[in-house]
Amino acid sequence: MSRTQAEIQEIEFSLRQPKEIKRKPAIKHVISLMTAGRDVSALFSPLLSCLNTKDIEIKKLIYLYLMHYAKSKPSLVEQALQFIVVDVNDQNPLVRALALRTMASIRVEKFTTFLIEPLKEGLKDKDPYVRKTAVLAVAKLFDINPELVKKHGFVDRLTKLLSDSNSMVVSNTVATLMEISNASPEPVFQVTKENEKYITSAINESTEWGQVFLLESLMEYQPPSPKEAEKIIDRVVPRLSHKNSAVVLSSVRLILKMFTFIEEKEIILQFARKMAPSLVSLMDNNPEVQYVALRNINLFVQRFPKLLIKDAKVFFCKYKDPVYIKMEKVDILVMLATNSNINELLIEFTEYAKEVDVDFVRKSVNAIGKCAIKLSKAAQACVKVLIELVKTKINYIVQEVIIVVRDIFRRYPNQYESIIGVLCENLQSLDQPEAKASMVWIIGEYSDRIDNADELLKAFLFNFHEEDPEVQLQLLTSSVKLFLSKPDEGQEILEQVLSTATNESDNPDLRDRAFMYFRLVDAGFEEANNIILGEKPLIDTISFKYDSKLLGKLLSQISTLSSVFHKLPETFISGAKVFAQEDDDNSNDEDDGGILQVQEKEKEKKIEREKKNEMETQQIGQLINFADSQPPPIVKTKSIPQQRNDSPDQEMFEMEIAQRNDEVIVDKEEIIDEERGKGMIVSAAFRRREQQIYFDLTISNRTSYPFGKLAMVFNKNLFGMKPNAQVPITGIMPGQTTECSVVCPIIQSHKLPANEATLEVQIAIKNFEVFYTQCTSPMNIFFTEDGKIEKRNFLNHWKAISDDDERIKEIQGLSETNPDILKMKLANLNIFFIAKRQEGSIDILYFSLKLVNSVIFLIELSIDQENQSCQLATRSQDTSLIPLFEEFMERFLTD
Amino acid sequence: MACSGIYILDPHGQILIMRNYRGDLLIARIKKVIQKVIHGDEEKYKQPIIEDEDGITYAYIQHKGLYFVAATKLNSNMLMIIQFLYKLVQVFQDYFGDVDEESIRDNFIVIHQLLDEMMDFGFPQFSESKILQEYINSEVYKPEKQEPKTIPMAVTGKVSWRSDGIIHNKNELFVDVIEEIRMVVNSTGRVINSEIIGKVNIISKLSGMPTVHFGLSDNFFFLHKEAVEKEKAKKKIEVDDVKLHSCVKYSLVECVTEKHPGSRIEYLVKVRSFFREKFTARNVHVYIPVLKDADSPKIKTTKGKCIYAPKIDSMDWNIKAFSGKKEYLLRAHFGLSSFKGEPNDEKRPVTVEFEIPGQTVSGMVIKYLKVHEKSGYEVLPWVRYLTCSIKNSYEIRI
Repeated sequence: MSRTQAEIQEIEFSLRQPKEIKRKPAIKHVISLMTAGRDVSALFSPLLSCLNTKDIEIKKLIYLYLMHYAKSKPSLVEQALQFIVVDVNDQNPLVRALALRTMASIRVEKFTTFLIEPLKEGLKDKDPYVRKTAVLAVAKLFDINPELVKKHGFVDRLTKLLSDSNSMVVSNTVATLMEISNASPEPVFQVTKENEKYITSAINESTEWGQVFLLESLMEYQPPSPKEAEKIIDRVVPRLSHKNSAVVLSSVRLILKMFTFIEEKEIILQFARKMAPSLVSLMDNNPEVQYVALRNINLFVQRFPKLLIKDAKVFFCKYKDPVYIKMEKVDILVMLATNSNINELLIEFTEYAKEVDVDFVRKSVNAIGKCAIKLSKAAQACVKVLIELVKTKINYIVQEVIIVVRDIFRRYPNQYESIIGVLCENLQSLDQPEAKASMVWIIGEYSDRIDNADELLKAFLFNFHEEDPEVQLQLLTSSVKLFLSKPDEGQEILEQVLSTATNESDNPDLRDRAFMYFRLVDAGFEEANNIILGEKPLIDTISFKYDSKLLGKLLSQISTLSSVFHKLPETFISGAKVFAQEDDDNSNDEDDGGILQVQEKEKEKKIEREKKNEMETQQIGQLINFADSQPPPIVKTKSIPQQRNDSPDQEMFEMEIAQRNDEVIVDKEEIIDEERGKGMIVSAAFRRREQQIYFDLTISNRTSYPFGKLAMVFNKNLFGMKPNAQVPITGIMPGQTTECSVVCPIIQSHKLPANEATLEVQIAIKNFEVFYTQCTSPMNIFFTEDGKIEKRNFLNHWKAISDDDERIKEIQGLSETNPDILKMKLANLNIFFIAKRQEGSIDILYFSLKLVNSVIFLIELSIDQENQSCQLATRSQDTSLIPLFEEFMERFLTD
Repeated sequence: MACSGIYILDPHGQILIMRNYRGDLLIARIKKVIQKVIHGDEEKYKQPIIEDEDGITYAYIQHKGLYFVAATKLNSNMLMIIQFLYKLVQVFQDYFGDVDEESIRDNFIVIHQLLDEMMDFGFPQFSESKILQEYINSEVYKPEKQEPKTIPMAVTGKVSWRSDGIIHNKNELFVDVIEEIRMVVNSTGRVINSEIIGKVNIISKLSGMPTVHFGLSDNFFFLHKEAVEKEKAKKKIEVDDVKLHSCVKYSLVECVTEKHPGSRIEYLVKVRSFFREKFTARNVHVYIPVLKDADSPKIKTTKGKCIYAPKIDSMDWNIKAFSGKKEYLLRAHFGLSSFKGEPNDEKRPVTVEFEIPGQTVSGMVIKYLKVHEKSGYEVLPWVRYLTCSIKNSYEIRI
């Protein structure tokens, strides 16, 4: 007999002792073995015989054992159940609750039926402790058998408990209902006006955890009016000074949510100011709490960029902060950088660059670069600091400086060139591909000003084959640039690179690009010069911000995992639902608070949901038909090598395309990302050319298998666009990216009712499965080419429309005020110039345009040259579309 | 929203306690993850929140080498989960003093009961250790206490932190006003960042359910609205967001260090106090970083004792009583065992610890203190003031 067996037998002997006092140590022993992972399942029946006891501790221990072995030994559980069922009616509430909790925690489906009756009783128990335990038991039951919860109407029973007099019962009820609602296909729990009353009044008396549940549940509440939203905020504001930071952040989350119902910017700002100090003082917590807080503050600062600027010092790194905190702090410091505090920040960043953690040092160097890009007035000072840092000659600092300097040049071309010389002295130590590629880019870009550019490039060519593809591609481009600016010195290098790239490389991207350059240079020096050394677009300054739509969604996730990852829940939680966030789309910038009326929104949401259902059924029907239909006619396809989007080379490609097609290239919007598309990335944009609307698609295959035919349908949309053909692609190989266009004529029957003016087009794309997404159609694609009205008729038209049908909008911050340029630009969009007059410093221009549905817009644009602003007056018989037009014009004029 | 389970692991990643609230966790995964946390260099495992395969996310805190880990499969409220883990440690501390491997092993039965009570199905429930102790305790089985325990009212009641019917013979109230200074001073002596974290801790030995009112000095206009903090006894009050940080009028200690390169290294440290003469700082510790390979220390001070602490590569200069408006000097010589002219040697800051009793740095005082209770008994209030700095929060870069 082994030692283990002997031990078990010994315990069994003790368990069978007649006196409880002797049995108890044995029971504890069993549990300790169980905790340590030993198999003590053999002791089930002797333990069970101990269950007839008044001692709660013994009960708890045996129940613990029961829950542990329930799944593997269901037959034994059956015997135990008779004891538990008796306990459900015990007079001690602690025993009743314990029995309920245990029964619900035995996760064996066939015993769930035993739970129903005790649970119904438990929810009505006179003791609140039993009630709250029963409430959570419903959540457990739902987890094992959702059908039973539905069948026995537990959701209704729970909803009634929202008005319970005990706050702990209310908070757990809310938590359970939310959990059930989130896991159900349809939301089962809605916070109505009546519920809201119970919930808010329970907050004050709840435990800290209960407060968090209650606050979270209010996220679902749709206040019927802005006033109501303010009231909720007023009630939540005192929670901002709660000791538990989870309560603080949940309050912040709720307040931000309520902002979406308030239109007045002043009120929003006033409340936001109250939140700022509470967020700042989250920094007095443990590092883990600080980490979550910092990730969330990052989002808050993006929404309210100005509020925390005066607190920037709080985010200065302390020496003992863990690195993960320091990294987050630096991000926030960059966001808070202004012309007035930049000097202080630069001293800090320089200090950080002296620390030992390489990642942190690089991040700090990078931060200096970002500040330079963000603040043009401070760029000089930043570059000065960077030059000092290069002089340390510390390898990773130099490399990081090179990387940021490249971006600085892309923002401020032909400035700060003095740093090039310093960088060139430190080329030996480069070992990171990104740093190398950046350096090569700089050499290529400024080859005309670097005396020994050819020598420098040659040094890199030495190891051409061993270099990272990123570096190879860059070497290729820079060699061409060198050749174009200094043909004599560059010819030899270019020949060498081109021949290596075309003959010896097995990287198709490199080969293709080399061939392309070869032909380009071959086609003529002048053309190549224009294309390659032409002016490039400047990089933007807000690259570290999320777009306002995503930001709005993330802000509604404050304090959750989603806000820590800065990812939406559906991207990392299996089965997470999207509908809860759907209505947050209109989250806004600090300075623009355009919010829909709440009632309208409710209605919209409902319609949205109905529409979606309808769309899905429709599409699935259509998608089935696709399989039988003939292969569609090919309109235009073109393969381009896969590219990193942010590589500076991209500019060149874009320009190349632009030159050839001689048309406006519209930036495509990524409508299906890699994660959602399970490896398929789709970017798309609408464009108008030659009286037709085209839908341009770029599809990348990042999976390991080829794609076959792709099917695509549009849902009904504003003007009734409908693709006339299927996606003209017959197959995309793994790793390949393909472009194509589909013509989308206007089909009257595909139109949406006019009261839902949105330019979003809902799209379903199918490869192996169906992906639903949407793409914004820029309004100008609906302006027809025949929209010009004769000058003499214009006035008649203008007068024919009553003043009531005129809408006026002020637009500030114009990017272009020259009337002639504007005329030209607008003509490109089919907005036709009619006449012009001048009143002092104000230019008044008249335009006309015609929409595809034959509605005519008459436009009066009064441009105030001094203030760079304008007044846009639009008249039309059909005013419903004017708001969309105004939005479009504002974007166009200020962009 | 809720979490799936709680683990407590020892410093080697062995599971001491695990609670699987939703039956959806695998032991093998957490073991793998925690090994990566302990040994791994991967960036993602250095953060306190780790996304793992199968959509499970772990959040952990460390306490005395132990790992307290929570796992979740949902888009949970992470701040709540982390706070709960800290609360767990705190409750364990209240129960059995030191929370370490040994005490966890010894008290696993209580811990299991606590985990049952403090969290149900992954939802945090009740965490006031005073009240928990009334119905969950580690006492050995006593036959005379046959009466089954029941739930204290406080668990589900409105006042969750205090039981009814407490009676003290002498009704006393202890108020500690503690201000902690956090400060970063750069090498040129400029104050880069300074803040005061003020706390009013109240220990009450009051009977019944009294309401305590107290007013703070009038110059604290920021507290206007909350000037009368109404809180029931025994609750710790933290005045949130004292936006007064920047108005610290005087710096407390200035430090000048000169470093001479070479095979011998010499430190000269000057410490000066700027506060008024009538106050005295107690237990002043100045930690001065020393190069890692320094040896044979020769240290001279004009006041106090200085010890070389090779473990933390620092000198620990301790001055028991440091009165106001005084200046002391420290001179130290070290030999260097090897000559390593590394220019990029880590620059660690000098840190200072001290306590100044009888004064708050912001000048905050408690103006009045009133206790209201039905019976109207007499109360003896005790108020103490203390200004302090704790290690690592008062740093001077050199």
